[in-house]
Amino acid sequence: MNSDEIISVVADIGNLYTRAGFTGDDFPRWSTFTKCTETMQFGDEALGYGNGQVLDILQPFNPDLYENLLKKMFEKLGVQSKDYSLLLANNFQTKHDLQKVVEILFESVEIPNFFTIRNAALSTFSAGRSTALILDIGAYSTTASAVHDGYTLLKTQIQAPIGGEILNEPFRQYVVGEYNQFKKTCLARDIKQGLLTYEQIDSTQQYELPDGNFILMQQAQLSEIADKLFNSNDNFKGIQHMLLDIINNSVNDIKQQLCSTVISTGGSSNIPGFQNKLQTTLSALAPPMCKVKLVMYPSNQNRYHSVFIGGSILASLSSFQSLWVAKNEYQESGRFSIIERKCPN
Amino acid sequence: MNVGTNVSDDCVTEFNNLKLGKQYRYVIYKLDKDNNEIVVDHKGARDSTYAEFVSHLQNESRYAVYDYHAQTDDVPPRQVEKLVFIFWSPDTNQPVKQKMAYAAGKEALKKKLNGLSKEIQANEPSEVEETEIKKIVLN
Repeated sequence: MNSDEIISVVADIGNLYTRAGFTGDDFPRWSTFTKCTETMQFGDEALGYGNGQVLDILQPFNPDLYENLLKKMFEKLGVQSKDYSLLLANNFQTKHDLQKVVEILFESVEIPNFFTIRNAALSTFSAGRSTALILDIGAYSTTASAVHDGYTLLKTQIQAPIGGEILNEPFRQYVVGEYNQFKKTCLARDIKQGLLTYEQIDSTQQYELPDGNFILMQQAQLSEIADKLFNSNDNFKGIQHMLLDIINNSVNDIKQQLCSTVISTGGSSNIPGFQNKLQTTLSALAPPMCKVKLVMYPSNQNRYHSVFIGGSILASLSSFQSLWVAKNEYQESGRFSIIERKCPN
Repeated sequence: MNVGTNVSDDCVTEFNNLKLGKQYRYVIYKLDKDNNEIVVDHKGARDSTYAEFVSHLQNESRYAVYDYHAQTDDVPPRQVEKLVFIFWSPDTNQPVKQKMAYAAGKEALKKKLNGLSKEIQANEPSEVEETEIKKIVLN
């Protein structure tokens, strides 16, 4: 990193996790839960302690708590918000929510420059592509999007209310001890991450609990849990069908490109054997002319942080610097309309 | 999405020399060392071979325009000539930042080149073999 590179802050504020850091870094320096206690404390220590309520900052969107989170973020990164441009990944459901956040950022948090771009586009860029079919398996929902030349095609984007957290449930029964709900979920999540696999293993999988006891599970049990992402039920078609729907609804010109550039991101895409399962399942369903090819990130860490990394690099490009929306631009030219103009989506 | 990468005037001039002047078979573009501006890397003579072109696509990303001539399988065969834009983005040890700068800069270049018929995004040698280009041009 050369000395005349201007550093900016990059933030990916998801429904469960918030990741923030600086341009040029390949890892977010601050990673926390997008939740806080009633007394505005952040972090798993505070959230896992006591019996107070744990408040969600998103789902639904809570502007006051969000503002607190933003301020906490700058504090934790050790910088003054007045001095740093912010690139925020856009995962907002409505324009209204984004509008409110931009207002908070310029007027209350007082950042000097802002930019936003869809999560899917950042995940695409961080894989070195500008066109891709992105499968983002989040905590509470999964979003499939086609990105073409850096634009996220919202018309064909599909979202389903199934994500990694649903896979925690079967492991809760193994969590013994006096913990609050938040902590119990964290522990169940840890067990899930230690055990869940799509790979065909002959022996039982085992996981050592903090108290020294072992959990033993068979492949069949684990498969049944992991397959929730692929199985369809009343309100969910399966991730393979989400991708297939986009492929079928896309114009012919880009169908093949999307099929041959399938990128999965989000923690659950790290489950051992997931990539193979997705490749096989999707290949079996794809239209004849389309050869399904999955693109891998260089490391598993990238799947947790692909959005952050994409933002970190994008905002560090010298050619990008002219795209920032400055505070005075925002104030002088009809506020939100300038965001819509300069931040494509 | 156009991230504002600069495109040197040379890029357009040489493109026109290929397209209108028929001076070249291909033009290869690259980002300058600061990843800030797209410049011309190589120009291939009108009679150069496809193999020669591919030999320039190594471990670093590149953009290229290739004036490809193909014959259909009809009887009598039809001559097809198309300008193909190729985005070469190998999954080699290129730094992610460079790979991304190329991905992000593509739109800026494409915007300046009028008359491109087809586009290929190639990430490994098999995707940029002559058979692939021919397939796309004849489709």
